[in-house]
Amino acid sequence: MAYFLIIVLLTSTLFSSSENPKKLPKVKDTPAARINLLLQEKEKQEALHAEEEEEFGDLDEFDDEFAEHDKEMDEIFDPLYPYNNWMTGVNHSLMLNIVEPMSTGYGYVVPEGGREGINNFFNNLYYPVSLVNNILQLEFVDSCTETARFLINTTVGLLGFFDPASAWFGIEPQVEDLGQTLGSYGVGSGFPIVLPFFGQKNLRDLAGNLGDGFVDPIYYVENRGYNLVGEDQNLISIGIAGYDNFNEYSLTPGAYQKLTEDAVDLYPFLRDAYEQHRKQLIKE
Amino acid sequence: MQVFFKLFMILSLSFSSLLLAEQPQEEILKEMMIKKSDVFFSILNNKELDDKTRRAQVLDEVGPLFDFKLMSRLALNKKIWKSLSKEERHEFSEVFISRIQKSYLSKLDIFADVEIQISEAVRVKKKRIEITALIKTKTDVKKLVYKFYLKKNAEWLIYDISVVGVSFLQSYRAQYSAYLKEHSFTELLEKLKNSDIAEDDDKVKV
Repeated sequence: MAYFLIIVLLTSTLFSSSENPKKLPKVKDTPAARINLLLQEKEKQEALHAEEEEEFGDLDEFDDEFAEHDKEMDEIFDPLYPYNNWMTGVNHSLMLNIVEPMSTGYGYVVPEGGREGINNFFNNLYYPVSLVNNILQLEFVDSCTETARFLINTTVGLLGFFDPASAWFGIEPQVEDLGQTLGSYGVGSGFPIVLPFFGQKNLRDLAGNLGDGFVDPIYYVENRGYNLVGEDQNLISIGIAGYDNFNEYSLTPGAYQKLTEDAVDLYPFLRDAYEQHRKQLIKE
Repeated sequence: MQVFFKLFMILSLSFSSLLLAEQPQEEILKEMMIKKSDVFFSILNNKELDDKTRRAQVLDEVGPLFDFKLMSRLALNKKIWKSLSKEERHEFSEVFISRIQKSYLSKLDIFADVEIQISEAVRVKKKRIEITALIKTKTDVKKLVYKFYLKKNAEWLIYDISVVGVSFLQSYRAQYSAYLKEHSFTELLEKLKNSDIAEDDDKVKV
């Protein structure tokens, strides 16, 4: 009985709506009318496009400038998307609720000059990584530049706490890592991976970071046999690397919030910015 | 013979004066950017100004260098843009322009402790010039590139900025394109209108 009532109601609604002259389409839905509508729409689009080109010039030329990267990001292979998206959210909360207030407190305890010195010290300590990668990229002038910086900053710069190489001699750093080296030899970025606290990476750069660990002095704070994450002594080193990042962040407080507040969707924003930045570093 | 000599002299003088008079456009833009940078920092470091006045003055000084309308067009890829009606395009442009101006003004304090050096101007195409600036912070040097294009009215305007290789427009395009795969255009507009940009609630001039 209930089914019968529903059928009656539906048919009556259908009939009543089809009988209502107001609901009838004004234009007959024939193939010719559809083609006509499409043509009108196309004409409108062309008129709009012509209007815009009149104002800005050749818009296709602008679009072509962005097209390659658009395509890459559009077709990006991101099998870990659900995890990456979630971990970006976790890192975001961590940054805003823990790192940011902690870095403010740290800023009160350690004066700015001290934090700059610590940052210089870690940058100076990175020299072996930079040297090896400059050599691997056959950048011999940059290798010499890095060596000169290391010698000046370790001696005159009191173990690297100061940077007289830049300040006095104008010798600017030429930092390279294994991810850039692999990229410069044509290795693709691979899929994106978001690490806890350390943030956005891709497969190539993560492999590069592990490789760099073999020549990075902070992974030799204690004697070790090999370089696998999870070894007790490496946890200490990872802690030191974390402190290095934290100390560096404390020099630009609030920068993370300012950077991310424009994002419509945080993970795609950071993923894209990271890829663009790395691509530029490899190109240079 | 004398007539030929005079003619030769006149022609060579007029050519040399033309060569001397025409300074490359990229150099003119570079000089203009150096002046603008000085004015920008003088406003930023003027302790007598309150925040609201400072932001308004910065926008008055720096705003005319940008083609915000073109930026709003290029923030969406061609396929998405073409799918929008005239009204939707207009509304998006208004929302986008208001948002990037707000965003820029809310980040002014980042420049408080840095030094900007306009270092290089390169004509990359007939109608494109890129001006590189080095942002010197206490710990490192970051590269910023202003991308100019020649508008039909012979005016050079900025249509994109890239910082450490990250292009603003490319970043917006990637985000909006990804967002529109799962959401409607109306939802994007609402998101842009409603999401907060910290600190600054003042209405900015569009």
